[in-house]
Amino acid sequence: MTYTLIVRSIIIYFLVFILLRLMGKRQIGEMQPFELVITLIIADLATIPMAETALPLVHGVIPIITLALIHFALTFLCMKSLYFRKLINGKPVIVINPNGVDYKALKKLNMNFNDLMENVRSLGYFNLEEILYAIMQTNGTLTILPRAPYAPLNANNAKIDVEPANLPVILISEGKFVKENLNLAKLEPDFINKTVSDNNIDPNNVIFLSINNNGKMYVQPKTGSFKVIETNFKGGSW
Amino acid sequence: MKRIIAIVFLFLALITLATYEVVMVDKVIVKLENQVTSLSEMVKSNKEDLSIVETEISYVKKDWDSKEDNLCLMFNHKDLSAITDSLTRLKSYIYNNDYDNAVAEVDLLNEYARKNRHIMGFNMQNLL
Repeated sequence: MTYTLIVRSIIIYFLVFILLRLMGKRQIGEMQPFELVITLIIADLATIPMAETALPLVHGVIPIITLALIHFALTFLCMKSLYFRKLINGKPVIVINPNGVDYKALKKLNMNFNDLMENVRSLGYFNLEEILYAIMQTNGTLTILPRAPYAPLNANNAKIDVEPANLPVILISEGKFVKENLNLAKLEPDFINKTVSDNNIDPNNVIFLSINNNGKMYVQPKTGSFKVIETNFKGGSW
Repeated sequence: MKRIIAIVFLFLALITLATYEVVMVDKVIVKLENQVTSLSEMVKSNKEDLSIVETEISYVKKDWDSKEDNLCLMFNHKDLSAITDSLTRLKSYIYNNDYDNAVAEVDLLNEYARKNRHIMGFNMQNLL
């Protein structure tokens, strides 16, 4: 009986795991209502045949696969048809506009001012006059467009020149070279070991290392503090 | 592309399982129902000497035992166990020439077969 339970649990675990991987990578908070419903039901269905050995495993597997197929079908239809997307997911609702809070819209969403303020505060705004628009998205998250004086300062609206952004690639992770990224950056492990040694760090002691397009290397040893090394590596164009 | 292949595979697996189940139920349970009906008639018409039915019940029991393993993939094991237990009891009653219990058991067996076909079938009662 115990072996049966173990094997059943393994089968169900991998089935649910594979299906959830196929369904996509969204987090619970980012799910559309239909996705949340399917995920919750699958989680519940998976436990029944796992523990009840009198039931054939297929009695759990079939509903799980059916729900996954429904999910794929709905996702496909939502991608292809705007009308269907609105029907299934609903549409974003403007809860704050330039005139203030739209109370009718708030009521439609079954929200009160406390809920709204909670959401607004969690986004870093404590006064409603700072907000030009607040939109409740179909997945239940609130997005805010602040009024110009309260908008976060960035290089563009401050009119200052900044260096172009660099995307670092990880060359050593958990103390091991990442071959794929070494090929991408066209770098050899010898070059990295030498650069690290020249900066008084034991290459065997490096737990994490990344390099950006301009050759700036971030080195994190297993013990001790990190070091930023300027290398002569130029021309990274990944 | 991988995802499409996986979805098609899952869809086909589902259809295959469902079809296999429908065919299996029809084949095995209907056969059992027929065998039990025949047994019932034989038992009821041989009140004085049930030894005539011994060969028949042995055959039905053996036939059921050979199919039970495959049916476990689709049926609730408790339902299958009820049929097996009932067949074992019926066999024992027949071998001991216990007419009253044999009649009761063969009727119960008939009911089990009918009930299982209904439970596994695709019908409105099961849907709602």
